[in-house]
Amino acid sequence: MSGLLHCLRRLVRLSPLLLCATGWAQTVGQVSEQDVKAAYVFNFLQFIEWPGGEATAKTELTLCVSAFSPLRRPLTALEGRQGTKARTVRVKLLDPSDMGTCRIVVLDNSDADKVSRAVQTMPTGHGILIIADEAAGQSPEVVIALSRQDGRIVFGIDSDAAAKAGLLISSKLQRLAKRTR
Amino acid sequence: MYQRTELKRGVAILGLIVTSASADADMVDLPLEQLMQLHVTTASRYEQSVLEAPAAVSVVTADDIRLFGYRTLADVLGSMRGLYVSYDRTYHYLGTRGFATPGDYNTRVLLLVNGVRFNDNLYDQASIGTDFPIDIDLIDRVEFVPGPGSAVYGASAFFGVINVITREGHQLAGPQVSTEVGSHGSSKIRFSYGAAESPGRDWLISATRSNARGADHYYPSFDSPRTNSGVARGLDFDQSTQLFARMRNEGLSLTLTHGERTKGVPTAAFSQVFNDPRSRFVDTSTRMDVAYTTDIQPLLSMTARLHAGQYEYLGDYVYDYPPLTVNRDVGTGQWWGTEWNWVSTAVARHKLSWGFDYRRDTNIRQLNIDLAPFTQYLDARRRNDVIGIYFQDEFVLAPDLTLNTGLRWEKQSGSAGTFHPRLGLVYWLQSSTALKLLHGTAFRPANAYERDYRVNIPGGVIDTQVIRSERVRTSEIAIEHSPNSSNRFLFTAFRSQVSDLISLAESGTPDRLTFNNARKVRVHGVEAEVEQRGAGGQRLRLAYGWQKARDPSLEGSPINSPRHLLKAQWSDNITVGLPGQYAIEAIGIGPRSTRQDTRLPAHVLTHVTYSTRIANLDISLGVYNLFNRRHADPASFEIQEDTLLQDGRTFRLKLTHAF
Repeated sequence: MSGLLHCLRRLVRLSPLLLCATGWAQTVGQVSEQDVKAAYVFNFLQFIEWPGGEATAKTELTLCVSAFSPLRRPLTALEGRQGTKARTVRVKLLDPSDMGTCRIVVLDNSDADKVSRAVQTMPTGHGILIIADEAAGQSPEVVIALSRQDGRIVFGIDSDAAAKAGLLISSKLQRLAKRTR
Repeated sequence: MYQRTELKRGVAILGLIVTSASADADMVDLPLEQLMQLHVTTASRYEQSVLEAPAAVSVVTADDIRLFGYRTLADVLGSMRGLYVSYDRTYHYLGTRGFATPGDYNTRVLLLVNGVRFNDNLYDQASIGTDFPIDIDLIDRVEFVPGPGSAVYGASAFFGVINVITREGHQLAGPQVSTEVGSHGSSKIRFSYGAAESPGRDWLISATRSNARGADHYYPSFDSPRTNSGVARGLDFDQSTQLFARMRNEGLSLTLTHGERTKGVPTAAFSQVFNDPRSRFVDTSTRMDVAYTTDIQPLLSMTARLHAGQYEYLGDYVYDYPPLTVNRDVGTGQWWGTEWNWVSTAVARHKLSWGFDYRRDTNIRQLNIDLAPFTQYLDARRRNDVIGIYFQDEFVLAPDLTLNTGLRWEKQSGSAGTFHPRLGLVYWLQSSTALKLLHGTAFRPANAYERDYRVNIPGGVIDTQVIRSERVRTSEIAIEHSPNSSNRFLFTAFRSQVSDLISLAESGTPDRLTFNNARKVRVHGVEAEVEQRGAGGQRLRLAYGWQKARDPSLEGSPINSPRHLLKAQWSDNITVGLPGQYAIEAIGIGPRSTRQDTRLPAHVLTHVTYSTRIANLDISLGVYNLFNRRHADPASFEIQEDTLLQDGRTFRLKLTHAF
């Protein structure tokens, strides 16, 4: 089975070449909303400092994503990627009752309440960056809320939630958010 | 509470490639209007992205319909991977992956409109030609899910499910008039009015009248002085009226459709007298549905639906017993039904959906009479109940692995209840690449026509024993690669096994037919599809299917079962002269066997469409079968000819004005 998967992976890697071989390479890179949001998530990582000690010492940065988040598919592409400070991104499914290893949580509506309740029981400085998509961004534990507005992807930063989580958000990112709470 | 800002184009375009700290320097505005990700609703009865859906779905959009100048739903389906359409000058017949049984009125595909069943309750027919009651301009997109869908939709979803999603009032916004003229004296006029009163509240009404005189056709087997030397004069006429109304208010929607079509029968089908102007088929249907969708809890949504409809077939057949007599065949069906569906994400990692469908066929009547002198051969009445209960689970096993399972129990009056499962394992090799392992079964009990229609007249059905449900079992492996909405690459391999196939066959008595369960068919094949869109509006789509059907009970190849199917499409903008768009489509069908085991040669038809817009006027000029290729389709048992010659080069000019 692993041999078959290996072959398929190779075939898939070759497929863009096969497509180009049709002699028509001027395709436009139209990207889906989900891909754009996932790219934002990855780019946020370089603007955020996690609380000192244990978290920063780790060589891995675990990203936990809700099972039915539309971002799950594009976020799986981050598995094994190098984040800041040479930390490798690990992508796993979010289990709201066991978020201990998660440094980043990307949630959708189905997990919003459970995650809120779980985070409320955690001490200040828990070090979990909670990113919400669309309506899930309403709860006070959400640090960054992504949404679509007037045909564009926009995001907001909640400084209070960031402070409670013990996260340091770079002034650069805060400037991009123009004004933060 | 949140202040929002716009991250910019660089992040998006470079997407996941960007890792440097200079990301902010690349951030420029990215309008998302073009960033539509393709979603489908047919595979699981709720919305999923194409890469998530446990099926190798095909989609044709309103834009494709306009660009390629499709005139009927049959044109739309004929452009899709693995599908092919035959025509016998009365109805269009859909072949799916090398399978098209003679005498099958598309009973083995489920046709939905906005998720509601559109097959009638008498013949289970899916009308896809000019008898489809909705104007093609009112279609927003058509999804086709190949493979058995009984685990989700029950009977009829045998070889696949077609879902026609109609346009909404806000998409027309104002009055619109469209007229067209074409070859063989065809013309059409449509008035539509769409209004959006507020977001989530809109309505649309539309009326269409079309008329085609049709060509005079020559049928060699009737070439004798007594039968007009084989020429059917003025008998290929086609007249139709279509009415459509749809209203939406938040989660509530109301849809009404009505269609009437009268088609001349030039082929003297069912052993009629040749070239008699009275020979015609009339199909009339009216349908309504009310649906309400709501979130009853944050993690639980519900859709409830009530639908009703009626269908009437009226066929005038001319026989010379003697005396020369008009025999009238009338089939009517009325039904109502209700559907309840719930979708929940309350259980971690599971998206559960369940529901039940109930349909009451309040009246199904089949009547066959001679008009003068009056003689009645058949008056069969039937009532029927269909109840189905289903359960589906989309279980996310790992970030890149999802298991879809489904099970449905369905019972129809007069046949035993049956369970039908499906399994779909979707593994994302990369974020843009899905590997899908699919397995499912489906069934179809005999419909009222197959059960009750017994008339001992020429072309009539006699001698039928009890007909069992036919069954199909299909396994498929598909790989889909879609790095963005402009590029798609798909490869799929499948194997289907059909048993107890209900089919019309020649009986031991001359001029009489019979139904039986005698056949077993095995089909396997592969399909590949590539689609690319360029920055300048160019578009390329290539789809190829190879399939092999075997039927041990038949000598020679199965009828109307091509090994090869090819679809090639190219379109681009024209910037010189009168700017606009042109589109070229080539549809190729491999050699096919006929009923008399003649081998029809392969053919490729090329269609070209040019479309442009001047002020508020959309102009479209289409040339179909550009190279005037001579081609024919295999005919079914009820037609004396073995093959039926199809149209040569035809034209259509269409003008649409939005006020």
